[in-house]
Amino acid sequence: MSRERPRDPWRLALGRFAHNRAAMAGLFVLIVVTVAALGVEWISPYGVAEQDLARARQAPSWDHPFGTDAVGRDLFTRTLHGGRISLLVGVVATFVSIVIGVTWGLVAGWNGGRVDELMMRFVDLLYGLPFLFFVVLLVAWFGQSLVLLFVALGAVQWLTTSRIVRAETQRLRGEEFVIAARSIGVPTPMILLRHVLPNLLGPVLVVATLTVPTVMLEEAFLSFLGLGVQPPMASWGSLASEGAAALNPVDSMWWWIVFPGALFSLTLLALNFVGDGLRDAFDPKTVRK
Amino acid sequence: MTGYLVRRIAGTIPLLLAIVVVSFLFMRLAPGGPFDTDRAFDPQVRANLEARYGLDEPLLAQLGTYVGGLLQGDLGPSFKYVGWSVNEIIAQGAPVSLTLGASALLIALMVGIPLGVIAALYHNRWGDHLATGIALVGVCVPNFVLGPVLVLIFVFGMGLLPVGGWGSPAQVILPAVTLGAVRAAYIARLARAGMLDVLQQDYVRTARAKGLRESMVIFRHALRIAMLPVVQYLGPAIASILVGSVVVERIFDLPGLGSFFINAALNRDYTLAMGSVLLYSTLLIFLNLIADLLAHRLDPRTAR
Repeated sequence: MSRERPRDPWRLALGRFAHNRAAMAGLFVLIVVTVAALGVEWISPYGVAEQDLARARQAPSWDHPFGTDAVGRDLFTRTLHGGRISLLVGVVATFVSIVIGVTWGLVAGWNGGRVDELMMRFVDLLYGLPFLFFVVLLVAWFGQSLVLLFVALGAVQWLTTSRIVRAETQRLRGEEFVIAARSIGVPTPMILLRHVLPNLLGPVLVVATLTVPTVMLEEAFLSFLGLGVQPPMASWGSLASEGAAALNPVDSMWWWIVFPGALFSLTLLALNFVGDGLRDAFDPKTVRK
Repeated sequence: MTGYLVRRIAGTIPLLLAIVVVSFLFMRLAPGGPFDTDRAFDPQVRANLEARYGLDEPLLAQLGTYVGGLLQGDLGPSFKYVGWSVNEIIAQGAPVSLTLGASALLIALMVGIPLGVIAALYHNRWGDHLATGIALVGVCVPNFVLGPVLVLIFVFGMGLLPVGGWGSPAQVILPAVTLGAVRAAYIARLARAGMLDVLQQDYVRTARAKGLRESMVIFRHALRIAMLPVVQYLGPAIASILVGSVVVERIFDLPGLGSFFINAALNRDYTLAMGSVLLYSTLLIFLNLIADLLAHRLDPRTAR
């Protein structure tokens, strides 16, 4: 058997992705934001906790492009630092949701029948629940740690993944190459690992990219309410919360809300572009008109 | 239709039951109690308090009492607002939240649908690009950023609207726009996609071939089916409006259910927090049901 495939679907997809200008722009923005967030120590001359009370509440200037906060910390530094937390929560919680969703969908789709019926009914049931309210109670009552945040947000977001994976698995189960593998007695775990999972990679990658912004929004929602990351740590949500709390007609400190908010929105936009681009690349039939 | 309705209503019962049980376990398993304060209570006082709220009984008996109360529409006494029942507190906050949520949904639909339909009718011309662009940006600006920015512009910048508070219609505008904007953007995208899809269908071509006026084709034949994705999205939209209202009420300092809920969560006012979650859940399940029935009316093929 030759390992070379004539038209590798991954290369085709990547080729389509590379020709999508919006998606490439999104990817570029995403890379810039990520690199800046990770390398903030080298970009900014200020430490994230470095206070300078003499320069508190300053409007944006050449020294402080995003201005300074109530205790004179550089907001540019804090915003990039906050991005680190927001992106981290987004990626890790999405990973958690993918692990749950893929497992669930795989088991349901592969087994079919009553198991499938029961498992997917359960997913249908959960779809109608306002989970975020339970997450609020969870973090309010069981302690506010990053790990709990990862798990809780991940555990809320796996439903869509499981539906997609289940449908794909069901389809793959009837494919000739899977039937062939079963007929020569390949053990089920091997079939799943070798033949099913690799074919799920594309759709899962697309859902994952679109889950990240959702999770980031939910983290920001919790942090905005004071239930997410705790000071001195900051995320885009908690920075926006400080900005919103400082709004007053006399001296509104507009830069507290505008800069973290703008960077957050820009990142969400970029993620959506990349997600849409990946979807179009992997499934050319659904290309938007 | 009746069979479908009965099946759907029957389906919500186990869901509601599950919510009640999970909520109750949440309440009781959470570490720390409502009477943990900085200064420790005298043990006797504490015991009396716990007896007063039935916390000294076995867990199952407590669940029984709680469910029994729920069946009579009683959500129990608040742990923190002494002398108030959860029902009374919710009755205070709910009208504010409902007004806000309903206005937001109305704005989302009234802005989103026309925007999407116009975009589809001007497919790939500048009207389309403008509408899609607005919708795309709208999706990505979270409400807790949009709200303060709107306040900066319209309240502090131009002085057009009042700062906060609740009571007059002018005070509803900003919170409702903040809450509805993201949904409007999303609905616009759905409406555009739905419309584009329908305009290519055979029956639309037939309608045009019959020589019907274009407005007739759009409004009588196309719109009905094109709105199906929007109607199906109503459930999630309502969910996100309910969640978003918590944030918006905080930004604009509104005395709604969301503020009570967050305070209850932070203060471990178990009965009030659970009462709010139950109300949110019931509302969502009920509204989801209505949205599904609406979709069913528009296109009978959607009923399973």
